[in-house]
Amino acid sequence: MRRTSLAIVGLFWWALAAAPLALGGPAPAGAERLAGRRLMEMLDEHQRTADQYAEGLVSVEAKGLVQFLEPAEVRGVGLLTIGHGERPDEQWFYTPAIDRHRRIARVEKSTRFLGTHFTYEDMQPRDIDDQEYRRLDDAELDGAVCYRIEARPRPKTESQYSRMVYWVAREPLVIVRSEGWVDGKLRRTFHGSEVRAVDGIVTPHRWVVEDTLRKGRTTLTLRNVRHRLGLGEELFAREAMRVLHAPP
Amino acid sequence: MIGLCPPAGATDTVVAIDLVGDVFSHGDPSAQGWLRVAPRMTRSLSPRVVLMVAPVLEAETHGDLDRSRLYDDDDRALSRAPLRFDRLSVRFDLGAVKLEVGKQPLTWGRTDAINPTDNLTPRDWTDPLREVRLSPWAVRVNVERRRWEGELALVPRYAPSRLPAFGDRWALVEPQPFPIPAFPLAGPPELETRLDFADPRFPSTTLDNLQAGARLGRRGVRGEWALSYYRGFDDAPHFDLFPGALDPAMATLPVTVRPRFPRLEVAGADGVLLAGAWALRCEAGHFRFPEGLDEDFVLYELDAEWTRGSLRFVAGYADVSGAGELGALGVPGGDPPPAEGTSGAASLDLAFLPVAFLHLGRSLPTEWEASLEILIGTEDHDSLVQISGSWPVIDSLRLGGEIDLVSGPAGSFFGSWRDNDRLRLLAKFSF
Repeated sequence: MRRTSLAIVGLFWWALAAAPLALGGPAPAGAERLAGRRLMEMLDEHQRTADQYAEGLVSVEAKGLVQFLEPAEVRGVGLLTIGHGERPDEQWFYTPAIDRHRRIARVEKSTRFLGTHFTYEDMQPRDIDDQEYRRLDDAELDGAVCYRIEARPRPKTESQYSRMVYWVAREPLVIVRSEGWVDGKLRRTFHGSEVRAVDGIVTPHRWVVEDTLRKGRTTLTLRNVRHRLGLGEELFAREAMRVLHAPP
Repeated sequence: MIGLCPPAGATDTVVAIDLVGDVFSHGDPSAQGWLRVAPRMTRSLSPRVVLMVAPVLEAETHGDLDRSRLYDDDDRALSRAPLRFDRLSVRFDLGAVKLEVGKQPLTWGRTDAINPTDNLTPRDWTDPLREVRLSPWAVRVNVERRRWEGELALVPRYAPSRLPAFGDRWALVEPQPFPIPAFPLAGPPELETRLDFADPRFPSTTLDNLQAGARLGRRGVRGEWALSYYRGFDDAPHFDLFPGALDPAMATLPVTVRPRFPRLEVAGADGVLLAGAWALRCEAGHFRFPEGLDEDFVLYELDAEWTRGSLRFVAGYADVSGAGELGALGVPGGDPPPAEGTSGAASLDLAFLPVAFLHLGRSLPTEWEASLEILIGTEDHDSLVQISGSWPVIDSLRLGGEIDLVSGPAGSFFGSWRDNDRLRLLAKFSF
């Protein structure tokens, strides 16, 4: 079994800002500036594993800077994303070996994110007004009764999922499971656990995504999560990709 | 306020060691080896000041490097020294303004094959299929505010791009004999050429000769564009040829070759337009030689790039219009013999144009990578095909290989290297 690691200094909206609420959901109040480290462990259909790490900072302005830490051969490689709600995101890819950043075309939302079971859409922010919501019957998950909310994308919203179902724990009030459905078939499940409050904000520290088509799963673990940090706008600039940014 | 830099006192170090073996189909030597050690260190001196050091230390088996000295700071020698610095600079983060002072790469431009707006950094084409950038000492200021970005770079000392040595396997043109029109009535049937290289006279490092580039760009949701201007000297040497007195006994024409480094001004523009999964890129530069000894030309490239996940496909075309169409290296040969003062630009960017190219690659950290690159000279029908692949055996080691296939008629750009098909084997350690 071969183990490799991929570490990322990043600004992951999904992993940090959105995780306390929902996959693809809006950021919680008071979470304007977040920082944290994430660890991903993938298990593919051949039972091979790969780890990914992220250590980063998050802004609710839907901006993200991802910088690889490991393996060493890609250390410093960066991906800068600036989201615009209904308009397409802007993205740049930085390669330190040639010291050049390159504007890239809009990434297909259903494309795998860096070889994991997450897709780019799963890692991107989503405006709360992009979906229509409906309350479903409550259900039990891991011995706890959860609210269930169905979300369907509005007509103008681009999404690979025809519907999402969020499972919200009652105490504390936090999403602990999300389901992504495509044309009536369950495509992915995201299971959140290790729920702890950090700086007053309830945060699941572990997420496991399972893909029904591409067998296997990816586990994402958050570490060193911090909220309410004052990050400068200049962090989300192309020139900023030339230097690795450790979280404060 | 959180600074942009890593925490003060933090040091980040990465070391890359490349072992490369080249096996050629012909020539002497038929095998070559390279060892390249490239540590990269970043040290935060304060929350807003970062020291960046990236030396490159090389060794090889076949004499491409200048072994008489370890380090060549001005990079003006005919051969590259074993030690150089990709980066030896201090960077100041002043909010939206970033200032970097020291040896640093200055990479402008947007397209893949040639970069007409990228004129601040000379190249080393000792192995022309593996271009090396020679970072100059420079001061660079970058300002990014909302959708606008501006950059100004100053390079006080000139260094030329380094060409493959004459007589080397990568030499583009070898001196050819000249036919004698009067033969058989007079003289031998042809004359051999003997090249004598005069010492180059580089531009002095004065305020008048300060090289400067400025770039202003704007980005939007659908794309972005930039305008740029460069004023300095052509990094590509021009060669003036001075035929000497004929030696009838030896049937040899001595020719003195004197490199010249003309003043250059380049007005450039580049842009990218996004259309779904496609990115359409263009880059062009108008090259003007104010001293009037060389004609203006326009160099341009158009690319179309498609990406999906880790897959990337690029198709492009590049050409030159104007005096650059000579595309020659200014090396004497053929018919007729060179007139006094004959001159040509030495840029490899010009020599292989017009060209169409394709790239198809898969790149994903921690997984296998593969790529196919094809360059086809649309005028001479010469070509370069590169097929490569690699696999990360363990965390710190990637093994790979590459096949370079060059072909074309004699006298064409790639055709002059057609005996240089090679297999490359690569082991890359990173830790």
